Amino acid sequence: MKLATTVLIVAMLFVVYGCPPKPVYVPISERTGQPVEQEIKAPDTQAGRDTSAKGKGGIEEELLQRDLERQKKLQEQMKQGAALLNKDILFEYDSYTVAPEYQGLVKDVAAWLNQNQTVKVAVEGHCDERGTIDYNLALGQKRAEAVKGQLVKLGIKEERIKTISYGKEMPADPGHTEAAWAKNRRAHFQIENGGPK
Amino acid sequence: MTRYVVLVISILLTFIVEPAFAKVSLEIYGQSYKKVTIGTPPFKGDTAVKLKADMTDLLAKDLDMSGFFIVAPKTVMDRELTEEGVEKKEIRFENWRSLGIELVCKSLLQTQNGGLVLETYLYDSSDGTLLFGKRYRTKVDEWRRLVHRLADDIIQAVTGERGIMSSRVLFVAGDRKSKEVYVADLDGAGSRKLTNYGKITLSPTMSPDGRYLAFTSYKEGRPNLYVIDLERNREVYVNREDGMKLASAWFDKRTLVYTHTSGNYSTIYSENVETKDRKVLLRQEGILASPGFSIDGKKMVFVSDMYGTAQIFMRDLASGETKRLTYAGNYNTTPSLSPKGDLIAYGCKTEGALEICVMKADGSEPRVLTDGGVNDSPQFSPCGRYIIYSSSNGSKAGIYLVLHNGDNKRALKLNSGEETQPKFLP
Repeated sequence: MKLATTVLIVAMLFVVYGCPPKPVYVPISERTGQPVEQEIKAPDTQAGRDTSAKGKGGIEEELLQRDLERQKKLQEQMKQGAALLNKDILFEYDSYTVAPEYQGLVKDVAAWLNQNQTVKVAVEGHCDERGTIDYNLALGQKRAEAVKGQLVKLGIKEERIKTISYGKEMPADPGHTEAAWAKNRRAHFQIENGGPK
Repeated sequence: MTRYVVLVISILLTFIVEPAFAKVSLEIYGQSYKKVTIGTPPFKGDTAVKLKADMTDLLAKDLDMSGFFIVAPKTVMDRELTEEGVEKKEIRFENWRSLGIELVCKSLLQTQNGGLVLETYLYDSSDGTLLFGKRYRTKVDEWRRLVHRLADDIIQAVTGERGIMSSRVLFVAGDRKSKEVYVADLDGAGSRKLTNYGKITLSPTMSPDGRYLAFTSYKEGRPNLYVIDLERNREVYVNREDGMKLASAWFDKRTLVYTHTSGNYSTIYSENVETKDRKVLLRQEGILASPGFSIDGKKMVFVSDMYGTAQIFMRDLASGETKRLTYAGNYNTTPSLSPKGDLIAYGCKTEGALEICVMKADGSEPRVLTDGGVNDSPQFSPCGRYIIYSSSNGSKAGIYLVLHNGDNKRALKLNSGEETQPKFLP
């Protein structure tokens, strides 16, 4: 976040100081320390493009602006991804078949992973408490593998998806009701790297 | 880690006047056994009063826990009975008979050269026959183990098979964030932590000679399979392959049998943890879990979902012939083959509960032993008469002991945390 703020401030400086009518190039070293109290304007791409043709300053401004946009877009995508990946895939008792109603979610996750090639995910497999510890550890693995298998079929490279089973050791809901058990029989996504913390 | 202190009891004299006869026998599918009433008057002798009382109490507790005895409460024994000597000629058996006490267990505890000398005589009150007599010697601080040994000898004299009171139990205890492997006496004394990672550690199993401990731990984030050498206190084996690796049994002193579930397949491996020589015992699509072996190592019992639900199978390792044993219900797992090879204890899902069941080794005559809740990880005692398992009913899981016919259910108090996955130490 710190980096993003710095980039934003620097970018704003460019927007304010680097704009026509009279573009004057001010080296970064001379600009640091100046108060940034100007009204923050929305990035003006039109202005940016105009200046790009003129002088060094314009080119620099455009690059930073593009970076800023890229970063913003990435952040948005990550937010979108985090929301997407926060949705669990639930399973029937003792089953590791991904139910048809979750095909949409799996497709969305695959599409998102395709857009964000640097991201790696872990698929965690979990079970409800009404099973033996050992069998549940294997069952959780199969649940995670089932989701991974579908993502691979949708074109995601295998090495980007890790699987990890927790059996019944980490319930989402510690209750002892049907509703709790249903929530606990799940595959959960975790962004491994390349994503927001 | 040091090797367990081996209790050295020198048995100086053994007077077994007549061969140990089986008064009590346990029939799972026949009639229920009859408990024998036994009197355990206070230990006599020159040792500290407190020690004598503690040992008397522990003996009564052990005999009671075995499930084969009704131990006469202290209150029924009057002064005349408690002050009576230990020798046959000093005992008035008619007094014991009048209380309905069938066996009288007399003990004399003395100190000698800083150690303990215990003499115990077991009489049949009907005719004063000496059924068992032994003298034990040990260090004072080993008194608990001495009493457990005595209780096991008495159980052997009466039932024809040794008791399990000297047994130690391996188990997992902790909470949701951290689970460690422990070992403790059957009565909860001498509890000791064998792992200390502050993460989830599960499914421990110890090699037959007590040297190696195998377990799966999340200590490095992902669940990996580890083997530690308890004698030298170091890690000797790690399996960090993708997927779930779970140790299940030791084929011999060095060969660990574990399952590995990854991709579409599950594999049962046997691997020598010293030479890393690995063999595939079975590989299938789907899930394979909980392999266990007959004493002769020829048969393997395991769980597979090859027909859609978790069921128990028996495989002849030489011929590869595999027989499905369970058909009732859609979830039968975690089998434990009895040492004699005649019974299998397992977990089965019934309506709303996960129960411990017992069936014959061919899958016939299944019986439910527990009564609701989540019951897991049954395992036979080395003598084959008891099953140890974990149980929870919406609350903390604890470890229980039950005779294989379902009688004598006892909660063991091993640790204050959530206790699971018990195993008798070899």
